[in-house]
Order: sequence, then C-alpha cells, then structure tokens
Amino acid sequence: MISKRALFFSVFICIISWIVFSCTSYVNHSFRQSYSNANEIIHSDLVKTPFLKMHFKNGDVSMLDTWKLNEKKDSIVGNGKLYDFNRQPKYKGDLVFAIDDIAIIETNDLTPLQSKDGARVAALTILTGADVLIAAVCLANPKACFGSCPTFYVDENSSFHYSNAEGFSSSTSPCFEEKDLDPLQYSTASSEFFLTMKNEALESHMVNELYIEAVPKNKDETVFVDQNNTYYTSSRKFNPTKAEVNNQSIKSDILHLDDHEYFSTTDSTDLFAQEEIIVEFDNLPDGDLGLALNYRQTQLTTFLFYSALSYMGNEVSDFVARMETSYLTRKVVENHLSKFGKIKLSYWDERRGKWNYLDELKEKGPIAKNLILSRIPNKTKENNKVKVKIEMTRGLWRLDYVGLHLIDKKASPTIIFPSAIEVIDGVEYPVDQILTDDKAYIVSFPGNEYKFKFDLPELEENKEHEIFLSSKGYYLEWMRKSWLEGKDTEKLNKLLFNDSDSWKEMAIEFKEMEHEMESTFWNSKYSRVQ
Amino acid sequence: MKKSILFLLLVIILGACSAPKYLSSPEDFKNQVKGLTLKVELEDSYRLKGEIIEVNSTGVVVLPQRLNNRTLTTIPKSALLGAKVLISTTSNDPRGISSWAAAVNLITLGHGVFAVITLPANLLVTVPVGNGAASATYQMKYPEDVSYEQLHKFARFPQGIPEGIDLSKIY
Repeated sequence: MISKRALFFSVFICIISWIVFSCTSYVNHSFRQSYSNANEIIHSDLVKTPFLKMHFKNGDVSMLDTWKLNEKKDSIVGNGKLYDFNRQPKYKGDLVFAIDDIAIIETNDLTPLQSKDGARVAALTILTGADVLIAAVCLANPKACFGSCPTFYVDENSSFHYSNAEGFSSSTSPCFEEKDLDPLQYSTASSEFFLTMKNEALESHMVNELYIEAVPKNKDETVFVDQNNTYYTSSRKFNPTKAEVNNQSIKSDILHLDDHEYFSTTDSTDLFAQEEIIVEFDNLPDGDLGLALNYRQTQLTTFLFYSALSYMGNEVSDFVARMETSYLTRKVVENHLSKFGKIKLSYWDERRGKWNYLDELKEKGPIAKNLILSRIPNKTKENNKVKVKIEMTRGLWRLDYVGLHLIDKKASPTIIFPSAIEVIDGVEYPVDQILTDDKAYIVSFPGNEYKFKFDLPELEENKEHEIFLSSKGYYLEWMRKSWLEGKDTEKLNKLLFNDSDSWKEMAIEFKEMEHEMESTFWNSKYSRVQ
Repeated sequence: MKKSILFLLLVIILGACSAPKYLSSPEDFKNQVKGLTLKVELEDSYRLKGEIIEVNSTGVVVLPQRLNNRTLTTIPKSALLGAKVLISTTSNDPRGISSWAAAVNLITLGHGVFAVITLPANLLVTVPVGNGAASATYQMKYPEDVSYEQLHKFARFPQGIPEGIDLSKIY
C-alpha cells in the first residue's frame, strides 16, 4: 500500500517536474503593443513606458532606454541604440527622431515572459543539499547502512517497513545456519498463498529449505506460536492494567499490534545495561493463559555486527574461515551473540514473594516484528491477577505489544512446501532446491526477488489458515569499501575477550549515532542492484 | 563498465543541452530587434523555421534559418493553418543551469551502491530541469494566441518591408 503511494508520488513529482520545468509556455500576443498613429503616440501614456522600440519608415529600428517628447511634440529625444534594416548597430548614445519618420512605435509588457530559473534553482539547491547529505551520512556513518537477511512479503509491493518476516537473522555464516520460524501475522481462506522473498541488502542469501506452516482457525481466533514451535489458538485477549519502566507508564505504547513501539536508549557507557518493565493484568478468568509479545530489535546489533566486520577489515574471510573450522572461535562469537540477545520473562510469585523464571525470547532482527507467546503456568495467577517482569538490554529492543491471551486449545499446523517459484529478479531455480534440508541452496544476490506459490488444503466453512514461515539457511554480508578503512583486529580481539574499556568505547561510539540510526538504516536501504 | 559509460553519457547529454541561439533570454528580450521566429509545417510535412520579416495581406515573408537557403520565402496566408511563434527561452542562464543539473548527478557517485536508487531519483529532477532550462520556450500558437491581423507586430518590419530595400540584401 505504502509502496503504491510512493510510486504514485514519484510519478506525480515527475509529471509536475516536466510540466513546470520542461514544457513550452504559451502566451497571448497582447504582451506587445504597437502604435502607428503619431497622435496616438503623443497622447497615449507611453511616457510611462520604461523603454521604447521605434520602427522607422526606412527600415531602421531604435531602442530607447530613456526618452521624452520635445516641446513642440514633433520629435522624440532619448538615449539608446539605432540599428539598420539588417539590425546591425548604427549608433549608440543620444538620439533625436522626427515623429514623421516613425512608422510604428512598439512597447512590450515583459510580465508574461518572466524567467523560470527561480523554481529550477530551488529544485537543484534542494537536490544538491539532499545528495550531499546522503553522501556525507554514508561516508560518516557506514555502519548504519541497511542490512537485512532475506525479507519476506505477503504483498510484494509492500514497503520494507512492512516486511512480514525476516529469515534466519542470526545465521551470519555457514556454521550458524539454522531454521527460523516466523509468524507472518497473516491469515487467508484462499486455496493458494504467495510469498515474495527479497534480497534488499548488500548480502548473499543462501536458502536451504523453505516452507510454511498453515494452522486452521476460526475467523475470530488468533493463532500464536511459542518458542518450542507449539501452536495455540486464542479468542480472548486482556490488556495490561499497568505497564511501567522506572515508574513511568508505557502502557499506551504496548497496548495494540500497531506501529507504536516502546523503546529506550542505550546506557552511554555500558551496552549491557539492563532495564525492567513491570506489566500487571487484573480480572483474569479461569483457564490457560499466554503472554504475547510483538517486538523487533533496534539497530544496536546491526551496528555491532558491522563494526565487527569493519574491525576484521581485509581479514574478514580469514576470520570467517577460523570460525567455520574452529569450535572454540565459534563458541567465543556465540557467547557474545547471546550476551545481548534475549528478553527474559519472569512472573511474580505472591506466596513466596519472589520472581520466578517464565521464558527467554531469543528471536532477532530489526525489520519484521516477531509475535511470540509464552505460556503462563496456572500457578502464576493469584486473585485473578498476573504480574510479569520483562528484562532486556537497554536500547536493544522495540516492544510493540504485550498482552495476555486466553488459550482455547493447542493447534496443529500443516506443513506446506512451495509448489512453484516465479523468478522476479535473479537466477532460475527448480522448486526442489528448497524442499529439503540438504546441500542444495537458492542463492539470492542484492536486488533478487523470488515469489513462492503454496497450495493450501481445503478448509471447513468459516475457517481460515494462519500462516507461519519456516526458513533455513545463512547469509554472508558483503564488505563495504568504507569498512575496510576501519580495520582494527586488536580492538576486535579485545571486544571478544571482554575488554571493558573497548566495550565502553563502543557504547560511546554508538551513542553518538543512536538517535539517527533508525532513520539512517531505513533510508540507506536499496532494493534493486543490477 | 557499461554502467559507467551510460552514466557519463547521461551526464554529457544533460550538459550538452544548449539553448537555441536565435532566441533571446527573458531578460534580454527587451533588446531583441529582429523579427520573432515562425515555425510552420507546410504541405508534405515540410517544416520551415525562420525569422518573420513581413506580414502582408497575402502571406508571411520569412527568412529561413537553413544556411543553404537564406533567401526570403513567402508562406501564403492560406498555407498557414497551424504555426507557432517562438518568443524567447524561459531561462536567463540556460547553460549554467543545465551544467549544474548535469554536475549534481555526479554527487551520487559518492553514494556508493545506493546510487542505484539515488541516481534515477536525481535524474527525475535534473533531466526536466536541465532540459527545461536549455530548451523550454515561450511561444504563441497561431491562430489561438495570435491572429493573422496581429501577426505583423512580431515581424522585423511590422510596417512592411520599406521601399528601397534590396530584398536580396536582407539577412
């Protein structure tokens, strides 16, 4: 929808540009007046005219910048130029002409013939400013530029802000290849389902296996999945009565599945600093409950990942090779990845007066939101109330929704592999390339787009399928020229071995760009690389 | 390589746009002492463009722009079914603005791979701006904007070619 608007807007701007800047402008003949009668000349208000063109009976013409009638009103005295019949200059200076020698006097109103340079200069000034700004941002802040892993769209024309899912976000190398289950937050009663996969970053995406899990449900139900890939249906939700961070209410930010998100900023010296959100629910009914969170990451992990690649510089392939072949190296990296990456959930045990562990959410990625359910044990609820604590790294997460849902029942998905692939942009692949977890991959390069068709099973009346995407693979980030200039393997080693000063430097560096990171990230994304 | 050549070509094309030399700019129009330019399509798609020298009761006398045929030509009034009178350009500095429009595209080279998006976006603006500055004109449509009776005002000799002028010496 947004994309269509953007397209319409671009075409509109283009048309307006052509009309304003490029087209012919038509004017009426009345901008030029001519007088051939001497009396008309003398008695008209031509004296107010700043300049005058006089055509003489012999074919000469004179342009007078200043002029007046003499006392007898039989001559015009002025200052200007005289031209011959071929319009070659004959004289320049003070001139006197007998009115009897004048054939026609001409005046021109130049108002309709104004230069249009003002609008052109304004357009070019704005464009030049914008171009310089983009160039400056990319030069000064190369670690903020867009990176994504494969993005999936139900509506292929949707803006990248509305990507339904991003596949295997954490799989930045072959050794980290893993399966990723993402709720597309989309349901359909149709017998066919289409999903478009795009590569919108400077990355190579290797897709090993891809299928959807379709869960049948009533139209008024919502289907959730938990971290163990168990599905639940729910038809009742309960909003929090209270949601606070440091005694500040954030309830309005997390009340609905929408674009309002709660997020905080990082600690200025400690990227690992935590924050706590306390959420309370009252008047809950009997029955099984699940805590649903819809969230995505901020640009912090993107920044750290790109910084690490930058510090590797031209040794990035050596480092990746070490990680692929050395279990120890892989573990060091994994430890750091897990250091940031979880949202810890606890519930308040009223009887024991302490917080009990509930779940840890680990789904990552800054683009598509993840809607995950954590089932709440029955014993959690006391006096029809539930109090939950959400612990997470400051400045790392953007929470869109927190709500309790009454679980109706567990649901069973149907696994459906694609029946066809349409190549919108990229190399042709047979569909069986991604049907099994094997050594065969679809390799997608920047700008590539593939559309997958899925045949959905028949449904009972008034039912529809909620669609979840399972993707397995990994991606390789392309090195940027500007990153190579930041090579600092010593600093990378210090970070990997938890040097507190180095992490403090990272916190300060990120803090400087944190406020513009989100907008820079989205603005620097591109979709078509040939 | 092909992309670089295409890019340079676009820049050169934009930079190469130039205003018609026979038209004055808006700010110089007051100093314009020749007749305005008539552009007319005659029978058999023959196009004629030239300076209006005289408009008389039978037709329009023009001095064609073609260097190989600079003799006065009379277009009969009856043949003047649809024509345009070119007045001036719409820019006071066509070369400066079209050069700027071409040069601003070069900044996108600093956008790296994002130039794939920013260059086309630039061209959406710079092509019409540069092209407009270089070639857009103020015109009058005949007979909508100017009737035959009014057309003489825009001739070199609105009073008619004076007697005693050797027609072969008009250039």
